[in-house]
Amino acid sequence: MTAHASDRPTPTTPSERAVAIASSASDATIVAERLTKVYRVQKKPPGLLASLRAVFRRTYTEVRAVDDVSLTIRRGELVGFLGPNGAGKTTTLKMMAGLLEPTGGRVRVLGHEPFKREHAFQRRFALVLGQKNQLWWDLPASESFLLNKEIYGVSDAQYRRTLAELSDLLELGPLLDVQVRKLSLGERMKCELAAALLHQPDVLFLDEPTIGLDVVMQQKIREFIGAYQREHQATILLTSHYMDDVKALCERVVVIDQGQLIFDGALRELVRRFGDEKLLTLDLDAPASREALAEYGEIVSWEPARVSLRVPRGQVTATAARLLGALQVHDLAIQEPDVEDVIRSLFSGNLRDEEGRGVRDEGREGERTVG
Amino acid sequence: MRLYLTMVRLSIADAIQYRVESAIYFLYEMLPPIMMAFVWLTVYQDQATVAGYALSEMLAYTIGVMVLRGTVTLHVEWALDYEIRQGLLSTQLIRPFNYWAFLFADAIAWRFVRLLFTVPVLLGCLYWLGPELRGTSLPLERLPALGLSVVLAYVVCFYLKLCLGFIGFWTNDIMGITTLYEVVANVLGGILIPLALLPDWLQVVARVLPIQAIYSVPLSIMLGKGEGADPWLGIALQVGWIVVLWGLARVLWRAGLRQYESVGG
Repeated sequence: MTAHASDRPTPTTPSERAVAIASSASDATIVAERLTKVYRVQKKPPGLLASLRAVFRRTYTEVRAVDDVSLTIRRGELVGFLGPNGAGKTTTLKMMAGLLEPTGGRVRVLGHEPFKREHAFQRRFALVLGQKNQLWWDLPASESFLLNKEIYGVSDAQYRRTLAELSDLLELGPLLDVQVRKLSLGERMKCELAAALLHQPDVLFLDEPTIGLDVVMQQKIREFIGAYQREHQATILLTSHYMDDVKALCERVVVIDQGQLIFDGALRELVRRFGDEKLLTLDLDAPASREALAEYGEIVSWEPARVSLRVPRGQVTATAARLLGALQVHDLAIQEPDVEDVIRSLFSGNLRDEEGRGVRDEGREGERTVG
Repeated sequence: MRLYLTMVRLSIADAIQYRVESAIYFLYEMLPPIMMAFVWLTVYQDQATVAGYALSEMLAYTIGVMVLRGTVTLHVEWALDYEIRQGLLSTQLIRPFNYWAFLFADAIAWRFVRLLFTVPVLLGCLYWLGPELRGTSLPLERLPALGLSVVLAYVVCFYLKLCLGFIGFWTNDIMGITTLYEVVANVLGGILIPLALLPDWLQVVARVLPIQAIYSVPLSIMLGKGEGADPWLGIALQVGWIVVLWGLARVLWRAGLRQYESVGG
């Protein structure tokens, strides 16, 4: 890490210098200020005649995939980046990696403007897209590793050291000399991660690294990311659809929906703020009927002797007191709702009245497989 | 340099994985000129020259086309089109390396493998047509110019195919445009027959296209006929096309990347 830091090229323009000073002073590794990306999407009207007309006169709509997002991520932070499909997560990551040029606002990563695609910057980060592979399909992964070693100018000694470490953490040993196309999805993802980390990037963008993997493999990848981050103090921004990933790895989460940042803070805080209901679980000495319980809250589960109720946050203590008085309660537990439930209700609430989402971000990428 | 050697080595290893496909494409490259050799053997039964070409010259030209098809006609457009459509280009754009050089190294690797296929076929043809070829000779002083012009033909082909591949930024598939290119190249590039056999007006069209710089120019340098009678004129023409196509490729690349980004990068 320290070796990398000293390679940092001297900033040339005054504004670059200002950013470099600011970021070294506050350790801010990723800084987005009012970051905005607007896509111009061609409208495709239904029907043959309309399609023909569209050949001659195209109409466009503007889609704000990322809308006025500001955030700062410090060195060594592991931040979970959440949002429903098409929320703008991938677009944001792509702007941070220099694949897309912001329409408005600005972003600095390691003091660089990513879209300039300076090699000095590119040598210091890695982007892993769970749905794309950069390994050579018909060759063993070790060959792709060698190419990356040359591309990133990794010395022989450092390469051997890093590869040994990664092989150890990811249990790559027997996989390295097998053609990539013969590996399972999970094995391939392990190799993808290793390929992306050979040059020991300071910043790592992980877009759905566990997508499509079985539970055991998800767990392994997750443990690896955590271990790697602890070991190297790498700055990691992770998107995932699996809340388990986020729960296990991220203290801080950033939630984005319809391109806008709607939450940035600790995971616990997210649950507190958006999970406006708590879970009351009762063990009863004398069973109570559903009807008798319904007046206290929404019944989540009901076995005569054990009941779970969802109760609005503000009424939890009052309701608990009433229950204790009215029923023969053996035990009572008050729990925070599950993160997954919070996120689900948060996103589904927003999604319900939103039908044109399919054209946005990831949704559209599916149509024409670019990205 | 070590980087590009590694790229070439990997691409060769990769190309070797596609032995069966390579063999089929190899037939596609070799068969048309070999069939043309049979055609010429028949045509020359009734006449001594065609458009100023003696039989020996015509056969030398045809075999030359065969060798160029095997060793110079690279297909960077396919690799490029695939990367654009699959979105793999994104993973290339964030790497600290020269992507065009990577494509060039990849193309060299595939042609190197194809060269290994081509040499035995060339030797077979020389044995088969040996008697008819007697009478042509390749003066030693033409060899340096010929060698240079083959290398330049390779570079012309690279930039031209790069431009074709970049069209993939705007279309879903470059199949149409590459098929059209093949048809045009066969007739107006001098693949099927020397340009001298074309009617005058078509020759004019052929002279303003870059494809002649890949096939017709090196072969006319080899024979000392046509535009290659003065070899350095032919080489100047190739260099001119390299500059033009390089410029065009740069323009298309920039515009194409903007297009690529506008649909989500």
